[in-house]
Amino acid sequence: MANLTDLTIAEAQAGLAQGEFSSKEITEAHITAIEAARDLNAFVTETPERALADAEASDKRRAEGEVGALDGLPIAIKDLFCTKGVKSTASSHMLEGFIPPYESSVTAKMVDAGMVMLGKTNLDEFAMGSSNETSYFGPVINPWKRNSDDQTLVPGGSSGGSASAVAARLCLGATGTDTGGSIRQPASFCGIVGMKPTYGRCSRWGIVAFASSLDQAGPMTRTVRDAAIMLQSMVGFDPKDTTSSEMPIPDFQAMLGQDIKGLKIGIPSEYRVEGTDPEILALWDQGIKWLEDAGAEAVEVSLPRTKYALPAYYIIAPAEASSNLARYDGMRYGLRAEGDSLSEVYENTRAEGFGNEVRRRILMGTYVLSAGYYDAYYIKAQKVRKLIADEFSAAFETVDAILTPAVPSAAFAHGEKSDDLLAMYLNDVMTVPASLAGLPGISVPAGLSSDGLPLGLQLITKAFDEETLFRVADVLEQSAGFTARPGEKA
Amino acid sequence: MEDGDSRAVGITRIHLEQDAGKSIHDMDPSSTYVDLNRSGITLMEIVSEPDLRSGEEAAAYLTKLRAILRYLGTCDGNMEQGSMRCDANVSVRKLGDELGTRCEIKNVNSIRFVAQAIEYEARRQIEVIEDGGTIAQQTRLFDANKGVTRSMRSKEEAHDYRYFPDPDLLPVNLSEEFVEEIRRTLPELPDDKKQRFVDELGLSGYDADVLVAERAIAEYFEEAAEGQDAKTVANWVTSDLFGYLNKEDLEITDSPVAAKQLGALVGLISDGTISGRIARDVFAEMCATSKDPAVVVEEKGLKQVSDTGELEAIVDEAIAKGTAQVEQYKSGNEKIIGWFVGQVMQATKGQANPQMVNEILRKKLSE
Repeated sequence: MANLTDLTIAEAQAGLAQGEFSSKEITEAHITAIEAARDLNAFVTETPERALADAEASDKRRAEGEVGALDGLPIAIKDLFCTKGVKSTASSHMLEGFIPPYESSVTAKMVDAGMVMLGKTNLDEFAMGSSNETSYFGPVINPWKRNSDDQTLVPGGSSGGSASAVAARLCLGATGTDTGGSIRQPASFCGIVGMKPTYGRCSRWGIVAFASSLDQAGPMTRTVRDAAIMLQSMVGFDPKDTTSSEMPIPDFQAMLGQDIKGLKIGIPSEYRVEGTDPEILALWDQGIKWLEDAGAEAVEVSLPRTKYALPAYYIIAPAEASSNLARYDGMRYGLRAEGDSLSEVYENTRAEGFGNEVRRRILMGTYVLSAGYYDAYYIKAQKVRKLIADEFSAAFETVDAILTPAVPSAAFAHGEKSDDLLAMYLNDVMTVPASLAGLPGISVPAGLSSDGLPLGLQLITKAFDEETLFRVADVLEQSAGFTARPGEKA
Repeated sequence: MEDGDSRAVGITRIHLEQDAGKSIHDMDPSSTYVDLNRSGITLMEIVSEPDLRSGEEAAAYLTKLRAILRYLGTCDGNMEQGSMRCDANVSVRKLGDELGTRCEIKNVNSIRFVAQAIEYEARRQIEVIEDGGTIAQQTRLFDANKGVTRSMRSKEEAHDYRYFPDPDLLPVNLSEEFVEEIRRTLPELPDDKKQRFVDELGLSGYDADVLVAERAIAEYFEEAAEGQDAKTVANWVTSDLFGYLNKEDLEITDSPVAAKQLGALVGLISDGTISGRIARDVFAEMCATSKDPAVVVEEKGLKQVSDTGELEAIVDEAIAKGTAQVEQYKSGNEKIIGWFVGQVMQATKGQANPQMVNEILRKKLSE
């Protein structure tokens, strides 16, 4: 029998269906793998007992012939999702002891589909970060290493624990959330597939809010098909989230294995951002060639306002965060620090509960929303956001998908960018524009750097056209034939 | 307005909130308690333009606004119970000048207090300015016991709420059809109702005003007036019924006499079953027992005597008794007929049909 932790979700589904192994067996294999890989710090909370109970229940259902779409599959959940009865921390001291009395809508759907939950994965505190170094529970380690040295590398962020766990074969797939690139960037750093659906596809109810107009859940897997399978069990209208969409849900897998002849792929030159690793630009060119070889037509598109996306994002996201995080006042749930007056309780709680990056963003958000600055910053950023969305809309009048790099660089070492905030924020420069426009995007591992690190390419389509996204991503994945695994130095 | 004038008051905007709950700081020396009992209750804030010039105008505006809200059923307007509150912004200026710096009086909980607070605050500001001072923008509270306003916080301490559009709530696009549908299904508002009462029911403007002032009163009146003479019903509601309710300190919704019963009482007068005077006795009995007027009339034997033969006999007796009065009548003092009517009423305990008594008397006295 093949190593059970090496299987894709599709293979595991087939194996379970054919009775080659039980959910209990594949779950145990993953629990063992998680225990052996604790130095990665990918999990905040492991839930092996819950996982085994889930697995046994799944095997029982299977024996009775009633299985869901994710039945018996060991999956990890980013610790930003509230899970009933299981600690949900957002990797913050503020929520260190928080056990939600309810389940997020997305994970509830996955539970209904039969998922086995292995545990809650580490992330940047409140999903604010691009390296998973802001977590209160310590940094996550990327299972990949450079050929040239033995330094530990960051997995990207904020869904760093999920990315690391999927890459290290600690789970078949994991949920992530993406506000400005938090699924796609770590997926690229860890050599896996990371997919952010259209804003509104997944309910945000029960996901700890960072920036409500941007946050969106998505799957992190080792193949495009696995992402399609997982996404199918995550999406759907939810009356508890007013921004959740009532658009019909297509069968995401149905588009896989189709050709892309005649599709037009937009290539925006504005993504040749200064400072981007030349190897990434070369990989991008290679990606264009792969899609052309598969029968698509590469078309130059212009998205001239791309350069304003990152500044606008760092106004809008902190503004919303400053409002969303106002609820952590020590009164209702989470940490409470004592004080002699109400204000002191507030101040002490927030000073103790929030880490530096979170405080920085609250301050930025508070600043841009303050009387006197609101028009110059917040309103202006919203206008920029609209223009960026309009540019995408215009581009999608002529092209079916847009291909860009997913990140400007490969994974970096711990501490390498901690002192350079702008360099850190630049990590999201490729992913933020689609976030601002609410568009679906996917990062597909497409090659290795000369130093042996995975690099991803990003595809973007128009809103609610995940079908085309998966269709092109599937071809890109086939063409790239990415089979490298972490821990195998070339 | 009281003097019959009207003012147009612009509405700047209306916004909706949900009550978030409140902190209670004064129940314990070192702890703050959180009261979530009203959490989630919807709140509508109506911001109006600076179109009002006195406490009296503000009171009239609030009264009208409250009546409209009650007609719409969107708020019970009960200020004592906190379902409606007023923040009054007050500034003073010399005639024709720009509006002065304003102070906001927060959370006033009765229309009377709003008028008092505004008048006090305007005088205070005038005094400050006439003493050579300037008005500092601030938030003030009205102390109803002392009838004064006092400072709560100054602008320097004012909160910067950092409002921005809530990304969790999408913009709501209301279609023309929806707006039209709402417009079509709006209940009749007080001004329209008043106009209809005057035009179609022939009520006086004053009576119509009184009757439409509150939705519950208007509804009571309309139910009572159904199929009856509207003016008579209006008189009964505004005089006898209001008199009784005021005396007993009751709301119209607690009236022991149901609208239909009052209508039936007026019906008994109109069809001659009882006289207006007897009706007052019947009404008093109805107030005490909530019985139907027909039942009261029956039980107490108050039915009007309208039998011509019976009345003629009684009239004859009265004429026989009053030979001197007959002489006066014949010599031109027609007013003396009242004396005969009195006699007949006395003899019938007031139950004689007064119109018939008059007719018979005139006939017989002219013989």
